Amino acid sequence: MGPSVAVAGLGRSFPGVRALHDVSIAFAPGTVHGLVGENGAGKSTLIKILAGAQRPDEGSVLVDGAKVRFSSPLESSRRGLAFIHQEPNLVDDLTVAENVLLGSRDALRLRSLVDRPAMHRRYRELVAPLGLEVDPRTLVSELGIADQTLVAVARALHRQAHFLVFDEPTAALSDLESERLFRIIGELADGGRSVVYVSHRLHEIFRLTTTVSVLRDGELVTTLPTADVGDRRSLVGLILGGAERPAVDDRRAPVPVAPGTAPLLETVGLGDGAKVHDVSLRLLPGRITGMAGLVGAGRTELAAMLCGASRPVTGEVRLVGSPMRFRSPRAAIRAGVALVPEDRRHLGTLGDLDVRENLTMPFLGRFALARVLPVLDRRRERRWADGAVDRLSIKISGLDQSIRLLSGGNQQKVIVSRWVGAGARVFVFDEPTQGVDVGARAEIYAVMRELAADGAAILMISSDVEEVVAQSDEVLVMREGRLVAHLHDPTEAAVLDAFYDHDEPVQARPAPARPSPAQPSGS
Amino acid sequence: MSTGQLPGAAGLDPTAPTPSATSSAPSSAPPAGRAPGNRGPRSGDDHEPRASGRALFERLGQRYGTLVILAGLFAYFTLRTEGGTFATVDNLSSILQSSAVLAIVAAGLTLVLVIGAFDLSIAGTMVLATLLSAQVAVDTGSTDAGILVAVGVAGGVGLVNGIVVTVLRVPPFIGTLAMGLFILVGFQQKITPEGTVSLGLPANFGEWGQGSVGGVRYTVLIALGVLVLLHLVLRHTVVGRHMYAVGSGPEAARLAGIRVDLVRVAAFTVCGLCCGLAGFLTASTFGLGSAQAGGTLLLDAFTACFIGASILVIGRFHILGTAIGVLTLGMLTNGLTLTGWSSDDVPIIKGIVLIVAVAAAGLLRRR
Repeated sequence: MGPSVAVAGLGRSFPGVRALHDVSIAFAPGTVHGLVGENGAGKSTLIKILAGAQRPDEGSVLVDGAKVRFSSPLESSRRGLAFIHQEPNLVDDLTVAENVLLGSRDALRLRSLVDRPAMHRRYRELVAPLGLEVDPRTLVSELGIADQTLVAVARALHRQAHFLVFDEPTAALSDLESERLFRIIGELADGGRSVVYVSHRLHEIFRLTTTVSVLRDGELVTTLPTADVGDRRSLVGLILGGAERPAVDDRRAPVPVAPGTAPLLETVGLGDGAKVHDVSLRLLPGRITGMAGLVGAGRTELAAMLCGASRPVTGEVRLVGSPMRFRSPRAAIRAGVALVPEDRRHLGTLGDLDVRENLTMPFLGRFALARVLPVLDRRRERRWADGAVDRLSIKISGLDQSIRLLSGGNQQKVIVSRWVGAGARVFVFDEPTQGVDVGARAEIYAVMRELAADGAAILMISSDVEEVVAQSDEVLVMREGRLVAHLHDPTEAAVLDAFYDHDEPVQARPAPARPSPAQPSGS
Repeated sequence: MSTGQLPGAAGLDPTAPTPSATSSAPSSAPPAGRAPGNRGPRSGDDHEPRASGRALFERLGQRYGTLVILAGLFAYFTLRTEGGTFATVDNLSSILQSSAVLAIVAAGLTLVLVIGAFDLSIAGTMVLATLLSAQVAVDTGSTDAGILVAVGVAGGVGLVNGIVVTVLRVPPFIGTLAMGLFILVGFQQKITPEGTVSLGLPANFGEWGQGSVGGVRYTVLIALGVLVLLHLVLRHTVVGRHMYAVGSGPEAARLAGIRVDLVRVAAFTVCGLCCGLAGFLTASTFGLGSAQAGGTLLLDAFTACFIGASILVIGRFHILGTAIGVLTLGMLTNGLTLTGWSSDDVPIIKGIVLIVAVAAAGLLRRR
């Protein structure tokens, strides 16, 4: 069994906020320990302290009962702590072998910089048990997130990590890839290591962990065996505390389609010549259409065509029956089609700007002082922005707050608000609740429903099968760029079934709801 | 292909008055206890800015740290000059006068920096304009012709820069470098092989650069006008806001419906126009067009803008900051000379002060 890591009385404050207070948790070797809590509860601060990126104001980190003080991430790493994030911290321009081996003391010993064969040999030794079959000379930038995550694990193992923290690792992974990761996590724990699993996906917590700690507002609510938690609702209750529990699991009551309702947006044979082929779909007003698929199925590329971000090569997009050719997102926005992108940080929000500026950007012209004068009436703008914040209950400390400081859920609400203000009638949500905590998730679902109730047509792309089934009126499934299923009465089983090609050689098929980990990887 | 619009819904009308009475908050919103403005954080959920002394000091330090240092410099110079000659009206106007041209160029450069690009051709453009305005004035006998051609061509240079960056997708650094340091220099030599144009200038050529009204030099007034105009544009117009958006993330800006390429071209063009104006004013001030007119303009302009980005609104380029940056440099050069530093030491001190001023703002920023 490896050394044990614990934190005792840990506290850390920043100007204006107490991120952690008196948190004591013992992580037992040989277990998978879950860490849950809303955004802002203190999880990332705790992890940063363990990683040596922040120093605690109070309390200490203990390794095998002895206080340790990490003055840098290097020290934490040397002590055997490893951290695997949603976007693995790898060097894109180096090969996988280099990423795994460089920076460790081994590098000098093996003369890895010079002795490539030895480096590659050692690399293969490390990745074989992980089931990663990637040539050591491959550049990290060529890999998908799933494989990158495994490379990060291999690197941790090479550095003899006995304590691994996984922070939301499955957000960008398909179900198959997640299964592969879960198996590896299980093996890590079985091998005597300590694994900490941080996630908003509570079903994964129940599945993987034996103990779970709940943080709220910087304090530890409780640490208890996962088996004692009860069900999802109880865990959600612990996370949120006394506040009203949102109806996360509420399935959307199916909205009936009035016969003869014309679609707001439809596509006929749409394709971009690369990732998307011959997609024909219809988005009806008042309906939420879900789109499920494995990562790489082409959904984001389809969304890009719908919203003018890219030009279709084949087929056409029709808006209220008329064919449209969007030359740019600007054209799509003017026509009332809006995209809430998957990559919130780089494509959704305007990071350097504040909340108000993010809210009003697409239709600033409306706040002009006079028809011809392009000067802005900032007061009118503020008033509108205030209203938008109220309407969607966006939690901000002020309109001038930098949008970067908002939680994922609130950022998402800003973006939706922006499109509502722009007069959008068709909304394409690409992974709307990725990286969003439980409470905000429910609020986003509520926003979508409200938009639909107002007559908008919604396309919700999601890799979370549960979510897509619970929140949509009908579900489309994409695989390898084509629409392979249109489920009017969606169930998780049906969706999962549609993921797999029926022409493939028959594998041992378990109950469809939980794909077997023994299936070959790759998506 | 029609440009049809989708029918809007009254419930989501963005321009309708928005009292919270009509707000249709999602049903799962937190219960009573939520303030009507909902700006207040839920209990402990959000970061409530507590007025802790240290936090306040740090925030103030960020915004005003550099200014404090500048004020300190001002005091230093005043004290160290006999009879406080530094702070006399005469001397201060002299600082303004000598800073006017830099102010105009730096203002134009600010726009380019806002969109996240660089313009290394500003000195080259300015010098070209200097030579052109003089040469054309000599050739046509008209100062006005000189002005028009100089500013027009300079604007054209800016336009070309913009096109090279947007259409040809050449990184701005390289594109403007090639333009300013090679292409324009070549053109300068073609236009004025001797390097100076001083003979045969029309009599009124020096009016704009040397004249004044009500005791204030035209150049200072023009500089002020440019600063105010560009400040208005950046802060109060749609285009200005779009420029900040493009600087924040061109792809995100594009998805938000901004015509990114147009905005970029506009920024470069305006910068070019500013350089053109500055070029003419320089020629007018000295009564000649000289290829040496550039001096340290390129670096001074960048310095002024960067000082500006460390003041008041940290991390953002803005006209007010640039103006203060320009004044700082003017004050430094003037003050150092008055207090007896030799002209070789001036650039050294300038560099050190710049580093210290910007670092002070950075140090106080949270790690």
